[in-house]
Amino acid sequence: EEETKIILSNSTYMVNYALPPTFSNDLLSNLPDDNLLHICSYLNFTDLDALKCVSQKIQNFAEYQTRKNEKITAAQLVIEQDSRGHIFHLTQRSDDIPNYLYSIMKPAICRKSGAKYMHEIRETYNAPRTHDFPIPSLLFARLEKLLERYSFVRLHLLNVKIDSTFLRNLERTVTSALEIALVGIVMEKEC
Amino acid sequence: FLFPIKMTSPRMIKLTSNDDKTFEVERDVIKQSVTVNTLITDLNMDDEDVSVENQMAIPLPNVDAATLEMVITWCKQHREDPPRNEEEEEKKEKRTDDIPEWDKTFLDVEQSVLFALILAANYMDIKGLLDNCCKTVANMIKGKTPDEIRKHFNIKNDFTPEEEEQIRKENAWCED
Repeated sequence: EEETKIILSNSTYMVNYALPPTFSNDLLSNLPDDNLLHICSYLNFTDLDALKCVSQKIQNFAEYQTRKNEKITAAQLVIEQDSRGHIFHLTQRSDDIPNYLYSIMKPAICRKSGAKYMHEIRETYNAPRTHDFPIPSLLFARLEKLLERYSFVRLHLLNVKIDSTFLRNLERTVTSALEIALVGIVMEKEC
Repeated sequence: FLFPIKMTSPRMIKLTSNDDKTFEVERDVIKQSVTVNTLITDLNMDDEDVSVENQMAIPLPNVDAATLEMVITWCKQHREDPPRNEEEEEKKEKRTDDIPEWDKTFLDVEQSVLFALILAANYMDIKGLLDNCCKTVANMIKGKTPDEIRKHFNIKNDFTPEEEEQIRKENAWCED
């Protein structure tokens, strides 16, 4: 039996404490589900991200809590397409530089943007001429991850080719816009 | 006219741990446990005519003596706390920097003791104790990398390196 000394401000307890064998190692993972969720409810997105990498069981709880955590409100999400490629960026305040920027495009534009978090895919990418083909689903997959933690007021679609795949992706990913701005878009007939 | 003044001692309740140790605790102290409170009411144990000697002890089969002693100490310390309004608690911002100083010291114990307290608070339905225990564990997680969390809690990594890399990649670019 393990002896544990518990010292309180005004008294000292000596207790004998023995845990059942199955409980002796990983105490956190063996907690009842409700308690694990209770602990997760005090964690922010960054700490939940770290938890997701810890173990398969803990990952499930962290994923669940990520969806439950209150979203941060951002001002604007822009999805844009031009001759250099595809891009989306999320701006927390309307007059600010983008906080997050994801691009599948030729070099140069991202580095100039000064965004806090950037991701660029460039190496094997042939940029389309504007409206050549719709926004790749990879961009929506990234957007989905970001929108687990952000909601936004305004959705701005700039020079985007809108077809049924784009609409399906948009519907699945973007659920919170209150205001939508469309500039230079091309719509396919079926839309 | 002189009326005899009846000196009433506080009403006591008996609790028995799973290792057969019995504790006498003031009714007013243990009211923080919803489980015990419900049992007392359901079993009509608030009857003032029954002395503590003749009173049935409430068995707590999921709590050992050492943990129960700590739970009672916590309840004594918090006996004057205002009753919780669960609806308001739900609306409150989830913070972990508001644990009272006494509780911080009280909960600065071995992990095995802290987790036993979580289980006891959960079983006895003592929301204040459960909240502060869970906040303490959350504080142990905050700011740590996955590796540090595993080491701290002795958690086995059951991801393949490829799976781990995939999750890390997915989350890395949009961290706060």
